[in-house]
Amino acid sequence: MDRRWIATWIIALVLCAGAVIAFEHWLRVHDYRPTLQDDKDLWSMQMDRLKRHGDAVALLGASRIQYAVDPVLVSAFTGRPAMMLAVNGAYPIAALRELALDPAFHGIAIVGIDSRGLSQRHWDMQQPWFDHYEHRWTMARRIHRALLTPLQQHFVFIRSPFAWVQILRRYLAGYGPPINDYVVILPDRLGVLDYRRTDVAAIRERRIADLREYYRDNRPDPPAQWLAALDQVSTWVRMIQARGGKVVFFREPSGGEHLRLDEKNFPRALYWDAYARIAPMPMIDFRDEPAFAAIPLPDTSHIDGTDIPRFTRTLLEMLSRRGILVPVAPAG
Amino acid sequence: MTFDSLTFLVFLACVYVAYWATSGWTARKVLLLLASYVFYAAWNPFFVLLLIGTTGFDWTAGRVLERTQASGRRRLLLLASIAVNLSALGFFKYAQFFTNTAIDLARVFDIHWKPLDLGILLPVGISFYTFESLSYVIDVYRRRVAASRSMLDYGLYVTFFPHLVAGPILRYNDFEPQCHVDKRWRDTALGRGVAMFVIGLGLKLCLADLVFGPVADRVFALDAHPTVRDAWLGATTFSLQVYCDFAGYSLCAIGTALLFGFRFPSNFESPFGSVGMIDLWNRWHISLSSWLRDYVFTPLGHYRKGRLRGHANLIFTFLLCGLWHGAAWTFVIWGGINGVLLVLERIVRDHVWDFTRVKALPGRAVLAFATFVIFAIEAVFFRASSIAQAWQILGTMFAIGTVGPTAIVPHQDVTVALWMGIALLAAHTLTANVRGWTWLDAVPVWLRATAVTGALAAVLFSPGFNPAFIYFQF
Repeated sequence: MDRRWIATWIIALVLCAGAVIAFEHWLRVHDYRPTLQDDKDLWSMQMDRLKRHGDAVALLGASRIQYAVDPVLVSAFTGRPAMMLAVNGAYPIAALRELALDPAFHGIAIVGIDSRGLSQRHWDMQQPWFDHYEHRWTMARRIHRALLTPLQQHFVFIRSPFAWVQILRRYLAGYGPPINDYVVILPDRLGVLDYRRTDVAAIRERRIADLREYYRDNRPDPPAQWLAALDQVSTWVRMIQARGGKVVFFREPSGGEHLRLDEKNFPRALYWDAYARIAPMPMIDFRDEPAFAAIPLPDTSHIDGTDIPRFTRTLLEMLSRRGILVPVAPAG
Repeated sequence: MTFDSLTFLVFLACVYVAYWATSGWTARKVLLLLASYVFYAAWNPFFVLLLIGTTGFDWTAGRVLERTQASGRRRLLLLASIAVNLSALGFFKYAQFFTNTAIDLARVFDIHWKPLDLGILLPVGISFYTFESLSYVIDVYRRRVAASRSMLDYGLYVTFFPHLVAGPILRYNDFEPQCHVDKRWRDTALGRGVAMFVIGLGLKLCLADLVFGPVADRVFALDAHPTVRDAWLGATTFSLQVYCDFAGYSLCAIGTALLFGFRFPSNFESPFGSVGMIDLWNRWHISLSSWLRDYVFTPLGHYRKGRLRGHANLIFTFLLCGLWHGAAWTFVIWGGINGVLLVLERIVRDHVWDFTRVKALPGRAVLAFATFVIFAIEAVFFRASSIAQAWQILGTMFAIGTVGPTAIVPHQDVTVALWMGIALLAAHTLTANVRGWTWLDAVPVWLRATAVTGALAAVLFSPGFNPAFIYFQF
């Protein structure tokens, strides 16, 4: 390489290295922390593990499972690998369907869901993750994700909110610097929430406002119609059970206005309990397990990261008492 | 494996070190061929067999064609080779399209067939390597090139990983002589190659994925109701996105090839500095447009058989160009519109005003902008998921269709896309006469360092998005 090009590249590399160091330093000074960016590739790595271990524990659900149940503790308790397949913001019936249609799966599916999530209109929410796994999850992507994970564990700036165009857009919109995220995603996709880093009251208000808006725009199906559609879900559960697998539906804790709105729109007796009477799998409502009441829900539906071990232990002990899980070690 | 992945960076580093550490030119070529198969297998190992099969078939066809003297048999051999290549392409890329079309046609005659999902997976890059194979066999038939004696060289021509999945579409007579010359590390344009790779990545990661793509995606979302402003933004930002995406890929490919001592032809030459659509098609996806010129338009008779026939040839060529891009009627229409526009431009330039003679920069800038706007309008068919959506967006653009009540593209997205778009169009207009990238070697170090630093910083500070390259689907 000629000297002029060597000089060019030395200047470019030194300047860019300086810019990276300065930006990373600025982010650290302003209390931003490294975390993995949860995406379909990270999810697919868990799915890969599930494909290798048909007898594993599959943790299905949305954010209330992803940010509350520690797969490491589940694995230690059950003696089986545990995979976090819950997806923030998406109900998990598509995941249950895919596991039912996978003849190799004969493990335990712990499904975090509520009556709203059982409504047929929400069944396909997680299908894009399975489509991604089926059609776009290649060896090249596996390697890319495996290389990206340690980088994101150690550097703050390697995530999309810190792309310069995104930052520029935020400033142009008057939003200021990127949001200092209060969730840290671990390589096994467990999300650890730290409510000390955020305005809990504002988040609580936002969640309630979103839920009100949702129920305003989406009237629940009448109980009979809602229940009739669940025949199909029961069929999928039976397919897993026929292979020796187990399924349990768990209605995760919520409180305050959140619970009131849920109850108003999906009265437990008309929906959840009605299905529990005919469902082929156990259905557990958090209100039937007093130990959950002791775990605070700062934003009315999620727990703080420090409570993850307690929440996981409570869940595992409850499932063990009901004969759904057979422990090989004490919970936690 | 895509150029914008960490997988590729590791792969490239390993192959680069192994290549230059290997002694012996043949051993190096074997290494490149094997690495190319690994590159392809990282997407889907099964289709490597298809690649090897078609490569072996066309190499054999070329050898037999060269030995055969009787013109009838030669023609038969050529047709057999073309049929095999197009059959593979037709099956994998167009079977579903033709099935859907047949079902739709049957409905016209009140015959109702259920939609049929053939479940055929499209091998990445098949449109590109099929065209390379076809050009080789046709050139051997025409005796414009000698049939390859080396299966290794021919295999490398088709498979060499930088161009394998999205071009540039190489010609055998450009590539083959490079296979005879042993490369020396000190002779390679390493600095320029890496710079081109980084600039290409910058175009893709920063401009295509972050600046223009999100705006176009909002407007072309199936449930979107854009305003007039939004619809124009969608059309123009998509044009800029597809340029940054594909030109970025091409730059990465050309830069990567340089690292190994190979030279690929340029694929984009400031297309938005074009004055007129004919000029634009001489600067946009050059390797495809020149392929279509040499292997479709010219054999059809070019303009040699009269103007009317020439116009028809041009439109037919561009209909094929559209179909090459995608198995959907939207692409065919897009190709047809391009063909008609080229014909109209020829008529205007011959009989009304030859605007290409305008030399003053302001005049050329206005004409270039007008050309870009025309390109953006027709690109609606390229981007739309259906003909109905294309008409809807076009109707909104000209305020004759449904117009959404409120803007769907936030003002901050508009501001960023607008300024970046203006900068890109201005750069193309100012560099319209610049060809290739060898000029990078001649510019002052401070200027080059500024450009390379900017591109590298754009790549480093555009993390987290990973949409596929648009042209991978073709």
